[in-house]
Amino acid sequence: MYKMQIESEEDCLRPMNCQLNVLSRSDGSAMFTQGDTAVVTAVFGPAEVKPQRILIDKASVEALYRPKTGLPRVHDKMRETLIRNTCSTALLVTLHPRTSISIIVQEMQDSGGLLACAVNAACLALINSGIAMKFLVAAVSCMIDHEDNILIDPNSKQLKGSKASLTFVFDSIKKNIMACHTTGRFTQLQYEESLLKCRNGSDKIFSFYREIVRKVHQEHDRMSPTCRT
Amino acid sequence: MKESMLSTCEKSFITDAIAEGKRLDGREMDESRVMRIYFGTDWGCCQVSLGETKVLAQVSCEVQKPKTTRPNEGMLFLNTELSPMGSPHFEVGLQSELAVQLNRLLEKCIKDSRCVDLESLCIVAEEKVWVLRVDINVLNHEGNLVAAASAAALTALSHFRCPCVTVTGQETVIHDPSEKDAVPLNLHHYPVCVSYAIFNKGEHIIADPTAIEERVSEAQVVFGVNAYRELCGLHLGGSSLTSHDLILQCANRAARRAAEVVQIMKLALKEDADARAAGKSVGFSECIQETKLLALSQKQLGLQLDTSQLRGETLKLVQKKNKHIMYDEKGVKVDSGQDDRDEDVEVEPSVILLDRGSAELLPKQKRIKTERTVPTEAGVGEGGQNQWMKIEGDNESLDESDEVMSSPSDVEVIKEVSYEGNKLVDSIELSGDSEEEETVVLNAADVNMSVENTDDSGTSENIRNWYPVKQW
Repeated sequence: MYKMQIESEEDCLRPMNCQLNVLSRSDGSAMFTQGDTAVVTAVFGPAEVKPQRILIDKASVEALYRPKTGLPRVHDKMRETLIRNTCSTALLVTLHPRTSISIIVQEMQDSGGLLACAVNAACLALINSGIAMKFLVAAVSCMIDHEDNILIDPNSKQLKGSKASLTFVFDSIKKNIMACHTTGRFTQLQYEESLLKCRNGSDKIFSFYREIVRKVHQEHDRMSPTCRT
Repeated sequence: MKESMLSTCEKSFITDAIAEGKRLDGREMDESRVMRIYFGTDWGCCQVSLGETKVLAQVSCEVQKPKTTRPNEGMLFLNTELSPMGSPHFEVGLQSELAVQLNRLLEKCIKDSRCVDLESLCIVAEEKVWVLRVDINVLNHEGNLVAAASAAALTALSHFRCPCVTVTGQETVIHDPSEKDAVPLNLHHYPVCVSYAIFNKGEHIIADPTAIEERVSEAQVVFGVNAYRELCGLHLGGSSLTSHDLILQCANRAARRAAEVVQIMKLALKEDADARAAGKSVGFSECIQETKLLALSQKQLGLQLDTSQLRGETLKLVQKKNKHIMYDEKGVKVDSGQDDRDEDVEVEPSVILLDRGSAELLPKQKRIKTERTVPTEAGVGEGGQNQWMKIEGDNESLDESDEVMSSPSDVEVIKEVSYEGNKLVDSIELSGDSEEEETVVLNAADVNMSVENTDDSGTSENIRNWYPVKQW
């Protein structure tokens, strides 16, 4: 039986900021920050697809992750795969056969929880682009430190003292796990507890998405009272 | 993707407008767009936006052996990436002509002009020097990339702090920025690139062209000038013949513009330094203007979790999962829930040393053919005993699908909302009198089946029902 310390302070997510439509050339874009971690994402699509990538029954989704310095490495390719798998499940790809949807993520600041930040930014950019989706996705990261405390949304300082870090991606309808990436070692109990905590945290992110969409649409309705959405 | 073609009417509109002295965005012929500079939390990270053109620059440093021809100088590398984010026709990997040109222009202007004091980067002559690397990423291409990129590179270089190094005899110690303050770089001057576009055989010249103006223009001229009116780089490209006094005229204007840009850079650097000294928050989250319609910010979001209830829930879940799972002869899982199984099995505890200061007690259990027990106290990353020979029915849990891993109590299969499948089917009308091939009319069932299959198993292969389904 594990003995876990009682958490005295409340778990919390870092403050989030976002701005949509920051880039003029792309179909959808978002700059998203969680604490000090900042990421800018652009979405192009549905657009012309290269002949080797063409799929006759659905859109071909590709994701690109660019680090700030140097050439992309294995870590970055892993992030690309995760983002691509998540987004191709979330998007209604069968609506746009023989096209390509590209999601490009550029790291701007890395202060912990970069994978989660990238997935959330990609979702915001997809919202901005208007491509139809089945559901929204939210990613939450957490870590387990050497005293077996579970910390949600840690920053890079806290991550230095971690023995395991987990990132979960949830969908907005049933809150099922869409993707999970972990490093380090942990027990089943710790996994389940982190999962439940992160699932709780994803609610906050979904309500954040709803807020930004509501903000835009309220203004839209206010400016044109005759047309009802 | 290929760059979309420019229509003739767009081209003639812009050329005629410029002949009359008017520009598409209402600027004067000599007017440049507003330049804004934002800094990140890391030293040496900045984003410059020139109108809608956005460029991100980051400086990093490394210790390496110097060149044999210059043993007491550091090195500077510039790398410009035209990220596919910038424009739909930018490709990854292959350096397009524009990328090569941009890279070369910046190298001429910044590297060859020796604006960074490389000798101060030397640590130990002939052995160790600092090598600086400037990575420039184009986020959005709306014209005049070279000006934005050069401003970003120079600002990033001025902003960057190199870790402090102390050399004692044979030892070289690089101090962490938290121990000793990092040292800023030494820049002699700031060679900024200013570009102009030439129209109508050299009659009209506009400053800071946008993307569409660049494409319509006959020639472009780029000047690398610093605040002391010294020319550091000159590039003329295109199909227009220009007279020499035109170039001189442009050069004069460029010198004035360069002085302005250097002023903007210095002001931004000073503001950032003040903000950091005052302990105010810095970073890209500051550049998101919350007053804008499409921006939103939310402060610390506390999760209200009832921790004791959470722990209780977790324990229940874990116990449920670790119930002894039985398999019958066909390899199908049978949920037994018999906890008294322990009595039948011999338990020999074994101690496994995991890490420094931690060890696990693992009960060893005898293997019985149709039964598989999950070691209850081993960590998830531990790996149990070899189970390949015994069990074949467990493969479904090791599926590549990264979806359903939730607890057995609420396993729910995500069913795709199939309404859009019907829409597709309704809109497909195949005429029956095609002479080429046998045409098959898709039924709703065919499309739905293929759609549901793709949904269940993520990225695995689809069952294509394009051919008539034979009933065996």
